[in-house]
Amino acid sequence: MALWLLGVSVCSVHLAIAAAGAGEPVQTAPANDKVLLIPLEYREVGFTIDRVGFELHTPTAAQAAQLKLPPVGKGTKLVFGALEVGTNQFAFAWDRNKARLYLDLNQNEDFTDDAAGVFDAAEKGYSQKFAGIRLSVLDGTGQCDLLIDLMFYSTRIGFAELRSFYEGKLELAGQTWQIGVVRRPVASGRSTRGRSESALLIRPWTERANEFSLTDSTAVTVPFCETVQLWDKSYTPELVWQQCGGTNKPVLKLGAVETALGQLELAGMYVDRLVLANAPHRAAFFHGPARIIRLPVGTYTDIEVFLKNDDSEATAAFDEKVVVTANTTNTLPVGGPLTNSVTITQRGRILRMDYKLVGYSGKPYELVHSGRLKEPEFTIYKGDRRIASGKFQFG
Amino acid sequence: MSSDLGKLGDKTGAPVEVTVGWGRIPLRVLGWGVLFALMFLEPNRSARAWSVWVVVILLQGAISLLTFALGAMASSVSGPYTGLVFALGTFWLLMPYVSGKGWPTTFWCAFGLILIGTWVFGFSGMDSVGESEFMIFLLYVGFNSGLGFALGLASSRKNPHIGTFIAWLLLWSCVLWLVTAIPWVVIAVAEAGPIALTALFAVFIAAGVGVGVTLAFLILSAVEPFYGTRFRAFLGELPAPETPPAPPVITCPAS
Repeated sequence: MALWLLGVSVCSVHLAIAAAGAGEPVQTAPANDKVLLIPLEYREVGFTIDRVGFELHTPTAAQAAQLKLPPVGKGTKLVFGALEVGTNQFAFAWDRNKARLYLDLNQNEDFTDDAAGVFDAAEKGYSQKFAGIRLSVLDGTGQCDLLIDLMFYSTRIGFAELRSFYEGKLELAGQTWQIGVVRRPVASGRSTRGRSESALLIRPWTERANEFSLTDSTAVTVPFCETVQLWDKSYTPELVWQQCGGTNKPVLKLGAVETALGQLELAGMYVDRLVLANAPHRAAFFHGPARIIRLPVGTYTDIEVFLKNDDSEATAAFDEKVVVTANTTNTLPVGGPLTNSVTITQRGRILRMDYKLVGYSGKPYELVHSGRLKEPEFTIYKGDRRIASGKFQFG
Repeated sequence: MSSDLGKLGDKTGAPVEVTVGWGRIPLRVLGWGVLFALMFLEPNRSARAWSVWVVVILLQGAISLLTFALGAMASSVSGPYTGLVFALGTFWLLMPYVSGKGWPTTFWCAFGLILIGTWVFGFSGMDSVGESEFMIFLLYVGFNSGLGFALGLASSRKNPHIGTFIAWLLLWSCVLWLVTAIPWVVIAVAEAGPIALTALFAVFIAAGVGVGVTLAFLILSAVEPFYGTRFRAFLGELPAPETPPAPPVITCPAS
């Protein structure tokens, strides 16, 4: 009965969107005090949201004889690899000579029966790119779509670049937010330790046209953990599928949970966004945090921080163990002001100078620039006499 | 140091005070000191023997120019060649002690002395022990130069002339540099494609500089009778001089 009510609730919201005809997802009201239901829409973008490297291998003749392979030219050696999305595994075979990719879309280990799984690279060459590959994976009771580009740089390594996610709209903390679910592909056989299968995107709705990436440390994404703290409340996120108009529609379900909270004091200034995570257990997201933040007790291992003061912005990501306890307020050493610093080491007759932009407690930060970064400059004095000056080089 | 941080911090960072020490320079000075001390061995007590320093200084000048031209890469590139100059200079001054001992002894002495000299002296100029590129390059220069020289000696023993030796030296150097470079080039091509074949140019340049340094000492032997007689005796073209006094104990500069 409860599920039926849930379904009606979501479906009705979704119908309201269709009636509005805006083509944009519309926020849903909480189904009740304990559960937030956010209808999601599939969205493809022109930028890379996530990037994963994979290894390729060439099978022996005996191994190749056991595979059901497409017809290839004499002497052509196919190179193999695989990507995983959740419990789905997509094997692929790359024919570099023909600049062609065979994808086992139906996951039956047969490369000859996937008519839609044959892709041609735009350009023949040593490195080849297969753009616009759509994968559809069974995710619970629904089919989840992904748009990826596969890049092959050699017969040993390649990259998958994700260009799609599911988007919704949420009213929370007195503001409208774009909330998204990113399903992440992983390379078969690679360790996924510390890497969540999915991520949540959270940013002001007004920023939804901006590019974002799971790898740029701008603190707009949170690992899809068992518990996710959004401002002062904890939720268990879940991607569920609801029947609506004869099709299964994705819905982000945020179930409120009661957890023991502790406190952290932010040591530095200008913290605009902050993410603390320990995937797959817990994550916490703060936008415009106060000096003291409250979050579930436990250990956090990954920190992303975004600093902003007027139009000046900087990011940082650290792997650092932070323990939150119920009875004490620990200090989180993040924030500004930022300082230009240099480390000098003498190596024989060479003085090596390494530039670092540091924030509170000497943590390294990177400035966010829309244009070309200007190289930091230095001047060397011997006593009061200026003896050299120059610019640091990137790299 | 300064960089515009907008409103996130001051443009100018706090000054950093550093005291510049001598670093590893004394080790190098010690190495050149050893070479200088060899001048006072009995076989080298001749004004003409000092001509070896002309070659050493000219080569060092050329290496310094190369160092300046290559900028940041300089220490990785120049160190092994400075080591090779030291090794060959040492070898030219100790040559009377290994002449006439039979070709197997000559082979191992030449190979060992050039390899060790390049390593010990080159290592003393290294930026840090952890720089694998430097270590590999140092190994290449020492191994290929030493073995190329020794194989040149072994190959020309039936026709012991400087011209024959140079021909064998060039041939063996090409073979050694190419053979030792193949694994790296194969790996690079597998990783980055045919573009990595351009790495072969770097191998040719590295080999060319190594052979050029060796040829500079051979030219010394060709134009300066003092070293010409010494080298021809070493090759076996002329009878070896009387056995000189026992060789000195050389202090290792990097120890």
